[in-house]
Amino acid sequence: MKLSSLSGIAMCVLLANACGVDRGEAASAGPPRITPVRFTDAFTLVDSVELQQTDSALIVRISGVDVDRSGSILLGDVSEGNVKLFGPDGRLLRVIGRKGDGPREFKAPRYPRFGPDGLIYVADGQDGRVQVFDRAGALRRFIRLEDVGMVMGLAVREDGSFLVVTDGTERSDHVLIHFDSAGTRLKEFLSIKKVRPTGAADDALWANVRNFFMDARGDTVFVTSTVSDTIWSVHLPTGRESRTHLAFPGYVRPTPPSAPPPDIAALVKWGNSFHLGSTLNVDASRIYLPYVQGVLNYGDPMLLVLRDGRGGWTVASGAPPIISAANGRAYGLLTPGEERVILGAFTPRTP
Amino acid sequence: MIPAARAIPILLALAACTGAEASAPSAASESAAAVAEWMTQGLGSGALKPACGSMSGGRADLLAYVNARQSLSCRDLGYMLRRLPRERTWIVIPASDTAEVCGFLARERIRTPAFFLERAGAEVRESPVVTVVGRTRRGAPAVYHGFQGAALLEQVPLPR
Repeated sequence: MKLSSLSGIAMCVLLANACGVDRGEAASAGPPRITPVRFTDAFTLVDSVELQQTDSALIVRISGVDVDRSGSILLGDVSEGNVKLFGPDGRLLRVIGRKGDGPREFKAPRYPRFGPDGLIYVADGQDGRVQVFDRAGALRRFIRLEDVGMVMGLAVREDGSFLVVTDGTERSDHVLIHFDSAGTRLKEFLSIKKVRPTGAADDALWANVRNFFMDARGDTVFVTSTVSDTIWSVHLPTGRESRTHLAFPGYVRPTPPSAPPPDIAALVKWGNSFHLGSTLNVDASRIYLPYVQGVLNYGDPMLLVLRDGRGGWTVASGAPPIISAANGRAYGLLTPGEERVILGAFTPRTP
Repeated sequence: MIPAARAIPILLALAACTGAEASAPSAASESAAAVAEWMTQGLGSGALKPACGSMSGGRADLLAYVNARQSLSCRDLGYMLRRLPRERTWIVIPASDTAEVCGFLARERIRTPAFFLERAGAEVRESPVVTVVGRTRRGAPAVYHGFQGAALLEQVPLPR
């Protein structure tokens, strides 16, 4: 996720503790007004690129995308267990890694990131590992993170340190951890391990559909969760934590099933009946929060919450899956559910 | 009825994959044996019915079992199935799970012929164990099983 800083934002919350946070340590205030728009009215498609695939290098299940300043594209594939590097024209340049648990191998490479040093950083969701590659695919560093639980997001800072977001650990409720470049733990933030949908009772089921997402800009880190319409932020130098409750039109809050689903089909239907936060991307001055209705996330209906460069919030219906933001553009999947993978680059119509 | 406590982890799908499996190895072995018996009986009786995938003539050297529970979990199933030889493998699905599994196979870009089979008992329908029926390198019938497809793939002698 791209490094970015978002200065001058008053992160606020409507209801203290309303998001199911065990200990409400984050600052709070009123919710922002969020205006509904249509995606096509709010964004312009300015470019598109088809990502090259070969018989031995299929794209199956996209688990993270990053775009650097030159337009090169990094794509994680959690099903194939590898990371693919594409040129700005979509040409496949390199397949990095394979399924496995050794060096140059991934169980779930969910978070490929271009680092500020030009290297490629990949966190393995299941394994608490960060591997660093050069663009030729050579392994440059192998960092094992101790006691982090499942890694659910990665951001690399200018100084080489990095941040991961996890589901918390046995010893800690904190979900955001700052490591130095060698993998030594520097500090923990955000005691929100047991976040649950706003207003919902605590329930073991939330732990099973809960995932955290994170992106950063400069000294400010943003975190959200699948089961919450809240965004948290941390200012790293001061450690100040804030949160904003995003009450937006159209959001269907996760609720438990009224009765145990009789079969798998009913289970899936229930899972498709509410919104889940699906990722978080922060660009130079914008925050993109896509909410998807459907846990499998293969082109399911999506609402895109956007904080624009002036601090205004909108929610766009009819949005494609937005999977990255960089260079003033939001990158969305134009072919969700299809074998061809075409990324569309969108620019907001408003500043 | 799927108890909520068990149902929700199935839905986990993309949210998080722990890769963990609580079942004891002996239970896994028994579950795989039940699945293998059900599949081979179905094959022998000609009860397999086309479900999805690219159908072609010929016989199968490998039978790979997939149910809805497995397809909604994180078991590297897609990774394994894409690497089993398409022309020598048949996927076998409990009839009640056909829609979910065929959807999974399409999303995972797996075109291996898939067949559904009736009369799956609860142990088969609910089996979390990734199971492949094939032969040893010496040609004897063999059942391979595990909780992660990628690891299982290393055990299965692929037909030449």
